[in-house]
Amino acid sequence: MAEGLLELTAESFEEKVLKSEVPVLVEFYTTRCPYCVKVIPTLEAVAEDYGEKLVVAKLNAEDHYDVTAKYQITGVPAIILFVGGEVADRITGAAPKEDFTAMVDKAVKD
Amino acid sequence: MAELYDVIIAGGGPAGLAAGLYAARDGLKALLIEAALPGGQIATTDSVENYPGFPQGVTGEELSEKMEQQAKRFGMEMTTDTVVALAAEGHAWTVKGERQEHRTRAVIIATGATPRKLGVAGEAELANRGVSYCATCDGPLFAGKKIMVVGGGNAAVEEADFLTRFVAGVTVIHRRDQLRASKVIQDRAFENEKIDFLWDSVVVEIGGEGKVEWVEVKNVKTGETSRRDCEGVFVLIGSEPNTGFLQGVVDLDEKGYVTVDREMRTSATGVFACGDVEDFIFRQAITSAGAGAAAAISASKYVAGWKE
Repeated sequence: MAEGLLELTAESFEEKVLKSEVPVLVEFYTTRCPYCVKVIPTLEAVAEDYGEKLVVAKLNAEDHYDVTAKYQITGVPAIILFVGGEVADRITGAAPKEDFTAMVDKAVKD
Repeated sequence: MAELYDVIIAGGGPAGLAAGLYAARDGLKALLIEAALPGGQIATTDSVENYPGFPQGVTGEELSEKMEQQAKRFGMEMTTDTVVALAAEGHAWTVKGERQEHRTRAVIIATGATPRKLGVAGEAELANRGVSYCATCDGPLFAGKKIMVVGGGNAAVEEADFLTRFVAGVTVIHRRDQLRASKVIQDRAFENEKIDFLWDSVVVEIGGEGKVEWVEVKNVKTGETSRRDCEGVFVLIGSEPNTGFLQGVVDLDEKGYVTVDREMRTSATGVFACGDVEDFIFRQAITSAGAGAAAAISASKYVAGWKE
C-alpha cells in the first residue's frame, strides 16, 4: 500500500535503512529540486509493486548533510539502493520506472 | 468518452499559471498539466527581485505558490504528468501525458525551457558527480567546497551569489570580458568576497576520477589553456525550449522555439503558446506571465466559437 514514501531522519537512518532486513531504496533530495518531486510518483509505484519485499524512503539531504556526505551525493535526486546496510547501486535523476525496477531486480537476485 | 476540457495548459511555470488564472476566471473548464514543480524555472530560483508587485523581492517558492493558489481559486484544475504528444481529433485535441490522456477544445503550450549543456568532454560522464545545471537543487550538497560557475548572464551571476551561502568559493568562468547580467546583480557579485572571475574563458573539458576534480579552461583571446581544481561545475549558460514533442504538430523556428503571432496562436488551429517555449528574446517571469494571460484570452475567444 503506497501511503507516500517513509521520511527518514539521521536518527532513523541506521535502524530503517542500514539494519533493514529487506532492501531499501532511499531518495536523497533537496527542498527546491523539481526532479526530486517528479520522481516521487515513480518511486511510489515501485513501492507498490514490491510490497513487503522493498522499503522505499526519502531523506532531506540539506538537513542531514552528515548522512549525505558519506554517500558522495553531488546531484539530486539520488536514489540509492541499500542491501544489507551497504550501497548496492544508485540512480541519479528522475529516471523511468523500468530503470528502478531493473536496479532492484538485479540486486535482489544477487 | 473522456470529458472534454475547454483548455488544457501544458506546463505550470509563470506562463502556464497566468494562462490558467485567466482561463478559469473566464469560466473555461481548464486543466493544467505540470511535470514537476509549479513555478517552473521560478521554482528553482532562490530570490526574485524583478517581478512587479514585490518591493522587497520574493522567494521563487513563494511566488510560485501564490500563482498556483490564485489560479486554483477560480477553478483551474491541476495534475502532475509530463505531456508527450498532441494529436488532433477532428476539431478537438488529445493531449497525451505519460500517465493519462485528456481531450480538449484548445491547448496552450507553456512547457518552457531546460538548461543548455556545454557539450564538452567529461560533462556527460560527470553529470550529477559534480556537474550540475540547478544551483538551488544541488548547491547545498557542495558545502565547504570550491566550485566553478559557467556563464555570464543573470542566472549565472545570481546563482553564483546564492551558492556562496554554502560553498567555500566560486569562480565564475565567462567567455567575454564583461557580464551580460543586469547592473544590480553584477555589483552584488563583485562585492562578494567569495566570488572571483575568470574572463575571456571557456571550459573545454571537465575531469576527475568518478567525480569532478578539475576543469580545463581556455582563454579565447590568447588560446592558452590551464587546469583548475574544483569539486563542482554549475553550468548556467541559458536554456533550450521544450518542444521536441511538438515536431510536426506546430511550426517551430530554427532554434526550436514555437512560432506564434501577436495573439499567441501557433500554426495549428486551437493551439496557443506562451512563455520561454516561444520567447527567445525576453524570457522573464513577467513577460511569460503576460504572454500566458494573452494566450488564455485568445484561447477563450477561440473556445467561444468552437463547434464539434
